[in-house]
Amino acid sequence: MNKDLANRKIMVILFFLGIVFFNYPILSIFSSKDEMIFGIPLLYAAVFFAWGLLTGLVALIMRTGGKDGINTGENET
Amino acid sequence: MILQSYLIILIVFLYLCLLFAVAQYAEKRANAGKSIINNPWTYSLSIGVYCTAWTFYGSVGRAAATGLGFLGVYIGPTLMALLWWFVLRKIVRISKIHRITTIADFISSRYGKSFALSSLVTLVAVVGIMPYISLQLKAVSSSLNVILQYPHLAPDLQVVSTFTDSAFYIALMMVAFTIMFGTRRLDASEQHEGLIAVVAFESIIKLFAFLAVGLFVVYGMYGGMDDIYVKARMLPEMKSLFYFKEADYTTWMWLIVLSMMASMFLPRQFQVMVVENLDEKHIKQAMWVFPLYMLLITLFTLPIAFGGMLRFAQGSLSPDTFVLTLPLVEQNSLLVVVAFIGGLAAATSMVVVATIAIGTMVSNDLVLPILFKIRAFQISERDDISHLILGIRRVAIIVVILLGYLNFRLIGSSYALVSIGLLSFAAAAQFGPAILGGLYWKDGTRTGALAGLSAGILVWLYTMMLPALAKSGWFSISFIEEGLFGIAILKPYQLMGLEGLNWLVHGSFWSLLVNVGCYVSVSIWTGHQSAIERHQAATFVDVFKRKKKGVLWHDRFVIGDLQKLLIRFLGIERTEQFLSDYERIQGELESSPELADYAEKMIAGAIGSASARVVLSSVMEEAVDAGATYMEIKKALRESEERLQTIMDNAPSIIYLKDTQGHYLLVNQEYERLYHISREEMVGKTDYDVHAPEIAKVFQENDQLVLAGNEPLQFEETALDDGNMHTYLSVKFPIYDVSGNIYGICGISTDITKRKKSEQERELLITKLEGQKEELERFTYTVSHDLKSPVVTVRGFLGFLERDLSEGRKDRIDKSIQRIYAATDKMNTLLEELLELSRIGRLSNPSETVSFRDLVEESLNAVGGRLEEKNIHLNVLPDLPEIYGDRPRLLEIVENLIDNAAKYMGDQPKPCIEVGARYHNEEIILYVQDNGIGIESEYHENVFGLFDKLDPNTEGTGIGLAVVKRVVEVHGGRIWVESKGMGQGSTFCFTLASQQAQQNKELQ
Repeated sequence: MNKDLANRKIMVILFFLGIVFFNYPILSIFSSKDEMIFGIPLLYAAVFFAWGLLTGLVALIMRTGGKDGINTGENET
Repeated sequence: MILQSYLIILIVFLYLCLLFAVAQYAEKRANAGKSIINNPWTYSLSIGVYCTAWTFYGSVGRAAATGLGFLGVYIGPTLMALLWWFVLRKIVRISKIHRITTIADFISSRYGKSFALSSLVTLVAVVGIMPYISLQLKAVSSSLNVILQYPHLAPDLQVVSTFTDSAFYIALMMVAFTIMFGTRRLDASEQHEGLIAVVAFESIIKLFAFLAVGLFVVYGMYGGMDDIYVKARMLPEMKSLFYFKEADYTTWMWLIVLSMMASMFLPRQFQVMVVENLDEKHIKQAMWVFPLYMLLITLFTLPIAFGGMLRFAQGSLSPDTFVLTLPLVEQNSLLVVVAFIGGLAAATSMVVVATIAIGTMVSNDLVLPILFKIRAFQISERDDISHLILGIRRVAIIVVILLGYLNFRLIGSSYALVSIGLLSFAAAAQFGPAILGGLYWKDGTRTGALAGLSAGILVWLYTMMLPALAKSGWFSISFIEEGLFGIAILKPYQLMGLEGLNWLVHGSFWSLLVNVGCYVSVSIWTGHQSAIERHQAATFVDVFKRKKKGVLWHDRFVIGDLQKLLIRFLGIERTEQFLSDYERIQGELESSPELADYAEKMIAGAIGSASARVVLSSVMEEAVDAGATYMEIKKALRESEERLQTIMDNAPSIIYLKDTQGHYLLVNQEYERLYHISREEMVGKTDYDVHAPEIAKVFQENDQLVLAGNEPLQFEETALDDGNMHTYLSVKFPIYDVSGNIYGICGISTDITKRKKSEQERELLITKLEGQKEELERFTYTVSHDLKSPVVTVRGFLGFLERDLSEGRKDRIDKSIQRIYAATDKMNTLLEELLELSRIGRLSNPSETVSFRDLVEESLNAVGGRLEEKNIHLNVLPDLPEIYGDRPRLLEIVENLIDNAAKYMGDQPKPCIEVGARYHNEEIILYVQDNGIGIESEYHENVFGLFDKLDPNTEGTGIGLAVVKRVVEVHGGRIWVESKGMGQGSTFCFTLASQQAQQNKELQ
């Protein structure tokens, strides 16, 4: 499996993980607690943290994701 | 007033001048071949045009109302960006190939370059985006007013007259800027270097400005984020914003869905992401830079909202203005200017890009196609209409911006910023089904797309746009509360009685449901696609697969006509460049469908694909249906044939196809190899051309059997291949055409010669073994029988002996003893001969060359006595040959044959035995002839059998001739007897294999 294809698969997995995380009922886990993290409401902290993490992951994958991958994944539909 | 109005206007003016400078610089760099937008960072930042004044001001307002709820429209694009490497890259690739310049062009091109679709999309875009442009102008106007009216902070902003409203002049500046940098070139598919540079630059400005305000609020006004939140927590109405309420989740989910669509399908997003893309690789960077950009620009939104709410008494002013009012009340003039410039940057970049996108759309996808359709206008007869096209585009830009301004003046002030933005989002989302379906579903049809889009947009109008207009006082709001014509299920906010959802969720749900539903079901229901639709669907969906060479134009056109056409739309310079480019790539300039296709795409870049097709069809014919279909079918057919040929060629059997008359149509590689004939030569030949007539006749008869029986049959066929007879197992079956008639016969013949041979050998072996087994049984029987008779004799005489001894008759004793001796001698002879017989086959002496005469003479030692006794004359002919073999055994042959002849001499008065040799077919036949009793022809075979004595009364054991036969066979020879019958004498003939043959056999 070439790297580009692998990366695209990871992206799809991340997409679905993101859809699940950034929606009910996962978000309600953070919304139901009265805690603060570093003085920030738990819900806000969780969403921003997950967002940053997701973006960081994408950056990591797409940056290392291979100069070889540009023209190789031509057979997707 | 901390800032003088002239100062603000000066700053605005300077800022706009800066933008002109940046754009000018970028254009200059581009002309020098050092593009600054051909850079993943510029590309990623330009996508930041997504964050408009709505983000800059409005999201604070929304955060103040819903807490985290404002963030949905940024989470959606973040998730969507994960799929960009699939979706966006595909759209970009398609748009580059087809020189697509707007989203209307994209949808129209996908569904067969349909004018109906392009104009519908354009109308939706104009209606849906206009309020959004108004929103930006309103934001600029409001922000100016807030600054100018300070310290009077009113919740409602006062509206000033048009000519004293600085927003009007800013709008005019935007028009000038957009026209300058947006309509420089005719070909809208080329990148707008200056414009994109400015958009990316403004993305940095607005991010910087917002971060500056955020840092100021959080750390300047308060003691950090925790300070703000801890304070907010004390107040119940603010603390409630820390959490999601049940209803918030639904809204949140729909915001994500809408913004996922909007981030790709809003005309301005399509413009920066697709049209202005210079390199697909840039998408990879944008996939994380754009989400990171949104993360940064929203990082301080919540703190600013809470900070503002803590600072100002509730309801005393609109939270939309917090970004400006917080620095204002803190008397931080510099930050006020920074914040204002940030908002201005957000607004201008959006307006400029959206206007270019819509301007291009209006000119290329709406006005031009109509002009081409109106014959009276004679547009296609004009000499050079490239200026006309640019003129239309410029007018469109002016109209769009001024309409936006008008819209804002008339109704804008009644909206909260955020509602207008969401309206546009929901409108843009209507493009989603047709685009995504068009990218991945070949069966999506033009009628389906039209039905889905119109139905979706009608529901959008009814449930979202019209109520909003009604609320602005354009017409009676009674239809909101009572439903259209008082019908309750038609209430725009509770359609079909669906209650409990807010207007956004409600409207988005119904419109997208109807949109997707109509698109899919109408596509499936109608099913029919014209040739051009099918072709476009295939090139869109399979853009990453092998290059399709579908051609939709005939090659019957005059190049001069095409050239004139190109000049009219592109100008002389670009036309010449285009034609020379084409000639360089293709090698020659001739009226080919490819040239037509290329030209169409060039023109499409300038005037849109729907018009390009109309324009081009004025000088050439479309290859309707036949073109694409024929090419596609031909290609599919060729592939299928190649596949079949490969399978045939790799089969170990010969495979062939003949017509019903026996003419070959097709043969495989094995056939070519076997009969040394190429498949091309073989076509049209019959079996008679390849095989001998008697063989070919059998083949054709078998073929006729298959044709007559109309079913597959198996045959065993033989053919002469390379000089050897080969046996084939052939399966032959009829081949039918589409209407079920037999048009040929196919055969698969497998060489089973080896198998056949081994089968025959096996059968021979079995027969031989059975013969030997019988012989063995007979042998056992005879041996025991023949051995028994002497034993019986011995016993009998022993009895006599006993009696004679007791009686004392001595004379008789001697006689009995003699008989017993005779019987035991006979037994001994019998046993010795059996022993002899069993020894044969294991040649114990080395072979040598022997004179046959010597053998005959030597044999007289053994048989001489008997000859003399019977007075038999032995005649040995002269010229006897030399033979080769095991000497003692060969001697046995001669002895036995002479002895045998002597034994069966009968009552011949002149007994005579002749030994000689004769030659037949280069074979030496040796014989022993007598004139004795002779043998009936029916016994000629039997004489050589073991113990087969013809006359049981004669002396001898019956083993002699069996021994002879075995010895002859061991020496590779044959033995037979010739006799004319009883009393005619008999001749025993035998041959021996040559020395050469015997030695070869030994070697094996």
